Amino acid sequence: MKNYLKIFSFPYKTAVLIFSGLMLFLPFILTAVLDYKNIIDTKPNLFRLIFLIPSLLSTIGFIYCTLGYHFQIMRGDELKLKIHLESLNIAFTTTLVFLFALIFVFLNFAPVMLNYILVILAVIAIIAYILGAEFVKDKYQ
Amino acid sequence: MKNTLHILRAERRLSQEDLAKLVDVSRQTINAIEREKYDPSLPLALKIAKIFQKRVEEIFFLKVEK
Repeated sequence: MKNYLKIFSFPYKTAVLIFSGLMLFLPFILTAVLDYKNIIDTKPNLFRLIFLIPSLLSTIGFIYCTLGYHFQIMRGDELKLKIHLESLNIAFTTTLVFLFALIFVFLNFAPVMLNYILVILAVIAIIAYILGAEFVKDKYQ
Repeated sequence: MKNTLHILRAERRLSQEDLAKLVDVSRQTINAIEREKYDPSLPLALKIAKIFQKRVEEIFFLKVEK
């Protein structure tokens, strides 16, 4: 499996990324277009499917792209790989620090926000990766 | 780690881009190595040494501490 992943080229990554982005927001578009209050009352399972199928496709797409870009970097230029790995390290550490800080803050001051902690952490991780990559790039220029 | 990469490259009139293509890395990697901001991996150092037909330690060496 590991060797197969190294050989597999993960084609159409950009198209899959755009498709996944669209799928992520499709339920919101559909609920705005359709009479969702009526659907919730009459066909609750259909309403669940409207959210389930696009979010499932979106999740699969994002995982595909993440693996694709990761293995593309692994096979490519060694300096880019080093920058990628150091940025991941920064993102991971930042996320871990924020996880404990947010748990403390939310538990004590806003328990409802614990429902959204994963989304908040995901956004923090992405921002930390992007900023980390810029910081690490500067080091090697 | 110090290196004589820019001298060897100039002797052979190779651009950073040319050398990068020969050893299958990006121009930025060659630039970072020449500016001593980045130490190459052993396989890359061996590839560079092979291109210039020299031993690795003739191209890459430790800074002499006084």
